[in-house]
Amino acid sequence: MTKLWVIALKELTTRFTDRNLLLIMLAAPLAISTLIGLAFGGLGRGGSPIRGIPVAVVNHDRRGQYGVAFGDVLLNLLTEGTIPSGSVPSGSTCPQPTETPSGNSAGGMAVGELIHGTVFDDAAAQKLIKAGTVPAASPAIAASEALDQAARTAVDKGIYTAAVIIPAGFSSSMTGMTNPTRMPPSVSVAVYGNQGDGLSAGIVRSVVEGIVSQMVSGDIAIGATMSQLAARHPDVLASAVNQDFGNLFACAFMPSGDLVGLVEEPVQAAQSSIAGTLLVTIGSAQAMFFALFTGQFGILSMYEERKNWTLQRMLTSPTPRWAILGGKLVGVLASVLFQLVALIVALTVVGSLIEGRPTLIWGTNWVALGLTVLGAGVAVSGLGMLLAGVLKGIEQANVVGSVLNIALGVLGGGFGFQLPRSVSAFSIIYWGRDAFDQLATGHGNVTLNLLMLFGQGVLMFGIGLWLFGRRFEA
Amino acid sequence: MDVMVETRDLAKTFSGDHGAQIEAVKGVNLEISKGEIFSLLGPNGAGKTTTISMISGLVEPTRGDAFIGGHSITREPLQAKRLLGVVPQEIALYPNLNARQNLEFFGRMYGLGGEDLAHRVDDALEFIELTDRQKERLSTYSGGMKRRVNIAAGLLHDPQVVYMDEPTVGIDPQSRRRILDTVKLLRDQRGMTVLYTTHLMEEAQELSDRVGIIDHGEIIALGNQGDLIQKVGEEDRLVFKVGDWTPGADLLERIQKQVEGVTDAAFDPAGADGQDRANTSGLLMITARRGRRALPAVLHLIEAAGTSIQSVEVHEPDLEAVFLKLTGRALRD
Repeated sequence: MTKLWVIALKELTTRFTDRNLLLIMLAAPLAISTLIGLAFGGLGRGGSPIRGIPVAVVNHDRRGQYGVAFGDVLLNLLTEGTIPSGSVPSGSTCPQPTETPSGNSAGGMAVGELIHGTVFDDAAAQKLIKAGTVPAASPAIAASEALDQAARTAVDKGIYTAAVIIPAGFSSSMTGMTNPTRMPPSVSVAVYGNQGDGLSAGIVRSVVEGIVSQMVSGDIAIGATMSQLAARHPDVLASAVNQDFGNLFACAFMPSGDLVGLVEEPVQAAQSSIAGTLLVTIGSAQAMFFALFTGQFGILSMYEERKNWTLQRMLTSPTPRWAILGGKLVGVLASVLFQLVALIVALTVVGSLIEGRPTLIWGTNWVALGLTVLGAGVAVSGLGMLLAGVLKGIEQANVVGSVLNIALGVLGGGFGFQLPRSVSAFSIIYWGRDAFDQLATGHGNVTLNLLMLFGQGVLMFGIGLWLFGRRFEA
Repeated sequence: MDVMVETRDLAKTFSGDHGAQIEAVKGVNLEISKGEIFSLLGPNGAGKTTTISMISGLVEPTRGDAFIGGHSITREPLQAKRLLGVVPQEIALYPNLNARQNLEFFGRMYGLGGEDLAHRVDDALEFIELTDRQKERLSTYSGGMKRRVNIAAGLLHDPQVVYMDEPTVGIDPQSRRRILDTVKLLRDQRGMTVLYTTHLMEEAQELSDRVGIIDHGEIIALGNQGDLIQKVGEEDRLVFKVGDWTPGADLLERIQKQVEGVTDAAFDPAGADGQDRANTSGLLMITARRGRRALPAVLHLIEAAGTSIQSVEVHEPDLEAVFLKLTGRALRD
């Protein structure tokens, strides 16, 4: 067993002392991801190629307590890029921020420039139904549900990249949180994305999350203030009129306001900027794309070792064959994992530099993140083993392996554009990238992704090992 | 004397195209004693590499077995391999690692570790005179230096048997001399058994206690140099370069019959038609007892046949002659 680890360590040492290999393993994906992240998300205010993402906004919300219509706030931000008049009770005067506000921005670009939101109401739905684009809903279902269904169908048809569905009771839910004794039922804003354009849908999700989380942050702070006020100065609270609180809420919930400073938390639970989204999406795909080469050429280096006679030298030593093969595989898997982890860390640093503050762009579900990295490592190593079993040598691998990797990269979204899921699901890169995307948004279920990564990896590894064992002779 | 390497009916059959069976080695029996330098010679494709590969455990025999220090390579491979050191013809080292890292890695493959390994590596580096460059990547070394590290990696665990496959290929005469002296030292000072293969007959002559000649998968001659030379009759070889001219069969017959002492006359045409494609001239090869005495008569007959001779060489009996006589090919073929 000791020799297995000695061989694995040798693999790591030879790999990480090869400058050319390091360039391919780490520098290239890091540089590509960073450049794309900067160009598309961080520095290009007004110059970003990603702009005007078509979004359908369905608003079922009504004014809640204190007369604030949070649904309208969100709808207008997405459709007009501004706070609507009338969503704030009349006569409201908001205090000015102590610092220059960043605007209704996401990752350095105004929401209005980034998202082209359209109010998706009954009229809009009927228009699509009449045009035959969207089928008419069954009369058995409720009108609001029919509207949601039409919006989703429009997204599926590619008319919109995403549909943001603001539920009824959104405002009540927000303002009701200030009174713990009368908690309203929990509701959530749904973002339905086109799976064929996960990148843009992810951006929409990030923007919506950013706005809603700011509203929630403000809500909690106001709630805490009111609780303290009630405890210390019940007379003041009793004399206050609802209108004052409405004013307070309206100002606090303005995305441009800094009355409630919780948006300046040093660390975010989930990435919420375009740069972060892009870095995760492109970075993870790039990391997996380059890890494919590491996995493949790591295992196929067995042929190189045979050619250079280092394999025979090991085989003529008192070292069992299983230890040699096992050591090689452990070394390759460790190299791939190290590569992925190094890139994740490096891209986190890049993301934080772009954001100007520490930002955990990959999310905070460490267990799932670790499993995803491990799954990605197993999958790319498994593919490497399969190719080692199928291909006849390093020369053939150079050609076939590279072509296959590029194909998987294209399918899996490794080059900045994404194909429909029905196609991209054939690539292991997709399953890894999608898992990283979901974890970055903070509320994704990656069980299927993990199953696909581990399942495919183990299957390919098993077949490859069997073929390799049959064919390989020193 | 103790037998360190033994093969018993060692055979290997490969499956060729269309299911054809190719018998590369046809039941080789060998015994190599402790402290002996044994050279295995054979033309390309004779079965030399397959035999050595079976002895060193790289290839599984189809039939028979090989023993190192009494351990069967098929049944007790790890015990047998512990006694064996291998110095391949190729520089079987990692170019990205330095000399020390390479030696440490291969030392660990033989179960060495800790201070023992560190001391052995220090000694080996001193022995090959690379202590001051031990931390430099192997890729920066000269061919001779790499070959010295290559040899040290095979000797680090102090094996009882060492197999050296053409260890002097591609290096300068000074490094070559040093390697040949090292091989003798291994035998004389450490009592190692050396299994040596080479294409250079003079190396085999200088080093070998015994020589085995293998051809078509069989050992066709085995013994010390004196035994083998005696076996082919201690005859001289006269080699005449005759350019593009091709002698008739009658001339060869006349030389053989009319010149006293001549036992064989053969012709090797120039270029692609000949045994050695690199030859730019046809070679008339005469085997004769007392070759120098037969020379004038042979010259007379050749010139009478109407050609001019470009050069003449007289070869005293040596391993090369033995090899040529037994295999019909030069060792470099």
